[in-house]
Amino acid sequence: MALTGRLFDGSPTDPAPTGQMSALAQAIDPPGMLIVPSFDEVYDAHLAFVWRVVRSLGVGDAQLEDAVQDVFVVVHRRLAEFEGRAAITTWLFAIARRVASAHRKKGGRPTEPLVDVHAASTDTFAAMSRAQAAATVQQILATLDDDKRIVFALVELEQLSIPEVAKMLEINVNTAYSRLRLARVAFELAAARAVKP
Amino acid sequence: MSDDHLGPYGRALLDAARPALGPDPDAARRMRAKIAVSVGGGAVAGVAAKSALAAKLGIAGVVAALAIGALVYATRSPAPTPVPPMAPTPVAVAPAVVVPVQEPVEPVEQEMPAVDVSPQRPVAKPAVTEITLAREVELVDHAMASLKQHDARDALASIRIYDIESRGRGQLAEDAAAIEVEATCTLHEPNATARLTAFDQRYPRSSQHGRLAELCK
Repeated sequence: MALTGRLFDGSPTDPAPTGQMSALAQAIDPPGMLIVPSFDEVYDAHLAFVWRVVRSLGVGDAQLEDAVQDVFVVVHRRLAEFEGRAAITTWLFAIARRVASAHRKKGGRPTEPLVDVHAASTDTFAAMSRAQAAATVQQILATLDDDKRIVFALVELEQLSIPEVAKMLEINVNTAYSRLRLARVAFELAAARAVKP
Repeated sequence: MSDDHLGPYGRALLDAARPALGPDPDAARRMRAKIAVSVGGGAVAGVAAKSALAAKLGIAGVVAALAIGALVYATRSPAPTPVPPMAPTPVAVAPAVVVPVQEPVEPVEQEMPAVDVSPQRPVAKPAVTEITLAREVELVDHAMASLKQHDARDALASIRIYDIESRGRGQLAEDAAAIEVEATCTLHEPNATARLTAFDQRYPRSSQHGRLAELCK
């Protein structure tokens, strides 16, 4: 069922970082002319972003699909209201944040304990499968507190700038830098331990 | 490791993991299908016929009446009796029931909606189930449709039901609150300005601020 625009064919979404999707992310072109993307375009381009953000906001694996689905139901409903005052990722983040909060209240903390990733690894991450590496990342992220995790995820996974992240989170830029620095240190130490158990 | 950059271990790990950090294709398809079902189940504004909307409102009225009845029962029973969970909206079309329009509801941040019960007794918190997003969309869309048909009282009735069912935890709470403000301003209710102020305080970044301010002048 196509909701708006072109038919969605269920093809895999592009997992590339948000920073590489400038055309849709901005949704404004040329200056002053707002081009509101169709729902399917938003879904295709930003599903991976929403997925990672919702997870980074503390929604556990058991509720992740439901939460992401809820985000896009809200997006479908409110896309016509999108005024282009901010990047569409900022708008999506605001929705995802509210939905994630609702799902966290329903129960379920972040990612469940994961399997021992060391068992199949050798001495470098290159030897890990992508799934193992992803599981390790999630495991480490789950150890960070909420404030640091989301800043780290938006900068290091989504490749957003610190000012963008500060605006999204409605925090001071210096605060964002501080949280990022601490998160980087913690992530690096944990990553080093993962390859040198 | 520099403070300005992630260290080599962290960077290598992220690079290895990045392709697998998003949803897999099966998950993407599943979610897309569920979204289609959610937004197709009476959520798309303007699609439902007026009679269908009336039927939905009737169903919502029954649910609201049950909820209010359960609250009154709980507060007047001598022994505490668990209130049964509210059943999901039935699929079958129910006869239309007039939803009693009361005074505008309290802001959505309130834990429980205002219900007229015995003032000597506290209001019991009913054990209701979480409202589904599809149900939220249905109620909010109905309220919006009512506003477009210049039936602000009907819109308020839908928002009252929304507040009861969502218990202030709805994901469309901002939309519902905006509709409430618009309806109260349209009806020139004495508390319209207070509603607008409360909305602005709760949703200071709402894109609807300008429109509502203009409407409530």
